[in-house]
Amino acid sequence: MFEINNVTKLYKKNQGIQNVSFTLKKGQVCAIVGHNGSGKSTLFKSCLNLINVDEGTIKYNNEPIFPLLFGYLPENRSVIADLKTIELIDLLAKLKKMDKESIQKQCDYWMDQLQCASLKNKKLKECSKGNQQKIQLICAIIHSPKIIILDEPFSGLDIDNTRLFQKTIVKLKKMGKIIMLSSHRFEEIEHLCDMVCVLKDSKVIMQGTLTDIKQLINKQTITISEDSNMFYKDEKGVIDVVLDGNLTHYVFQNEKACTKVAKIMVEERNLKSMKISSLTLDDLYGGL
Amino acid sequence: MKSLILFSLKRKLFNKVMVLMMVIVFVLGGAVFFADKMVDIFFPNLFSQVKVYMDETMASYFDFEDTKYVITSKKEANVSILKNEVGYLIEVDQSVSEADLVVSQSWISYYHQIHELQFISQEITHVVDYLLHPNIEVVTSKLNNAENGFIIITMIYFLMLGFSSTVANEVVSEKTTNMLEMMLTSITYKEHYITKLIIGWITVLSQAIIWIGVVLWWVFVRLIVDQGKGLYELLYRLKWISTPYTSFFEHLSSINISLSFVMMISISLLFLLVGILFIQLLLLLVSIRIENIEESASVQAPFYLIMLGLYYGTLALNTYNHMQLGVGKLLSYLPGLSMLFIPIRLLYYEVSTLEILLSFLLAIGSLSYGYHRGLRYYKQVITGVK
Repeated sequence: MFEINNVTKLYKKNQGIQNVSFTLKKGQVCAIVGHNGSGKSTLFKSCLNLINVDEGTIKYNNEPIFPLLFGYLPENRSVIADLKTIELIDLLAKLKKMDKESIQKQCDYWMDQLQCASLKNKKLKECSKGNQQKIQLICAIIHSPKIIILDEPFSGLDIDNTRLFQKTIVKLKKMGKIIMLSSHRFEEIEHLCDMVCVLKDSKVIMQGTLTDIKQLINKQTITISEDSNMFYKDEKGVIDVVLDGNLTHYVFQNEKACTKVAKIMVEERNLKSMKISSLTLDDLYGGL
Repeated sequence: MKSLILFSLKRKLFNKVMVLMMVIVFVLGGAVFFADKMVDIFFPNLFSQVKVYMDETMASYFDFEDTKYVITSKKEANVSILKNEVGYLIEVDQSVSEADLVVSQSWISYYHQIHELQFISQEITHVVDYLLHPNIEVVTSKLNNAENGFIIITMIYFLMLGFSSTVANEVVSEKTTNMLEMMLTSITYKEHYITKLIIGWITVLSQAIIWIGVVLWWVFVRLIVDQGKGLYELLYRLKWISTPYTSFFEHLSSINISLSFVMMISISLLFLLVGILFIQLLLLLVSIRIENIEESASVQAPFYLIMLGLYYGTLALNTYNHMQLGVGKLLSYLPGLSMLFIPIRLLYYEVSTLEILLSFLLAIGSLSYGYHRGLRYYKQVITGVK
């Protein structure tokens, strides 16, 4: 069990994190959500022991944490461009005290899983951004850490690679790993996470399971296309309308009002597509 | 830490440029150890003899041994010196250089003066001989052991300078590629800090081992060929050595390496080790603040200037008065500076054990203090936490 208990680390007023507490069990995925500068990286760095916290404790199974517990995928690319992919993996695995045989075995396994076995002898500078990200993910998980921290894991990935990463995260979750991740593309992590922790100005403003939070904010959204005049904006129950290119998002206070308007839309318009969704992490983020 | 040191060493020693350099060094090593063969191939006329004809009386005045001139018959001569009624005649062929012609003229002058003196009264002969032939003794200075020792110190000093700055670049590179953060999730700050401090020395040591290996290889090859005899012959003919050794072993056995000399070199190297570590520590602490390669360059230029200034400043102060009584003596107690001032004082003058101990304690004390303060600063800068 991974416990973050009342952790505070402040650089300046409202810069850092204040009184963050949550507990994650084996196989749980926690999404850390927040704007830039909200304290996500500080939280990750505190967990990784890269910075000393001012207050609070971080423990794993009631024991103090140590570096080898963690696997870390940083937000920014962290590669030595003139190294071969295998050399970078080898270096970071050796720093994690892995022996040659295990490195070889795990490297082959994860390269196969992430469909990048052909990159083994390629230099990192010859790899695409997505492939570099795959290699970095392998570096983060090769030593089979108990806790995996993924900072913006999908940034710079195309759809296929995003799905591959999502599959890998699910696989790691099934392996019993505790995973903390952050992302700005919330639809990508929504279905992965068991828990959400929303940070704003260094403080946790909301946290819990996704179901708990959805109950807390009972919003519904209908998304339709080709409605630039926002035809249904005056319908009862509509609390917000957002025009997003060719799409119009109608936000409703509750499910009942949403269903009513949806019926009208179906009757009146020859809709090519309509999407009804309950709370997404986008709503959370927008509400901050 | 071991993995990081090995990785860093591998990057420094087994990259393409270094391999190319090693190939060049290897080839140059071969060229040096087989310089006599190279001369035979590329400069066959370098030691070609000049055949000289002169009559027996005149020839008896000169000793042409170990010179490029050889007495021969008039028919075969390149230079013929003949007496005639009005004086002397020099006949030369086209192969004779201007220098050889001047030498020939000097022989005639010498012969003429000495020979003609025989026909003058002895009293005058003495006076003229005294005036013409002042007693001149030429002593060619040889490198003494102190200079040999300082050559070793200088080589290591400049090697270390080079590698100190590469370590600084390494830290900057790790910072700019975010690799530092990744590494610090696996090893501690202390391990990273110590690695960067000692990697310079380990690299120098590894390089030295490789170079010594190259030298030993060529010595071995030359031993098989002729034990180095041909090489020594060349050096002797070039007058670079004063003894015509016949083998490497003969040369080695002639070198007088005393225990006290070995002690002096060891103590000097110890001071150099501590001093360079101190400088490396300062450079590392400056490097950790650097955010990009451009900034790195602006630190390295002054660093080189300071270290060059320190080296030449030490040489400029290398007089008895400065080193034993003046500012040189004072500076030999200063941490960082003692790495040059103590070795130079040890090698050229006399330094008491108490002075050596005091200077060493100050150097090691400062290094230890700097190490502990530096570790805190290092962590503070990396994490951005005060």
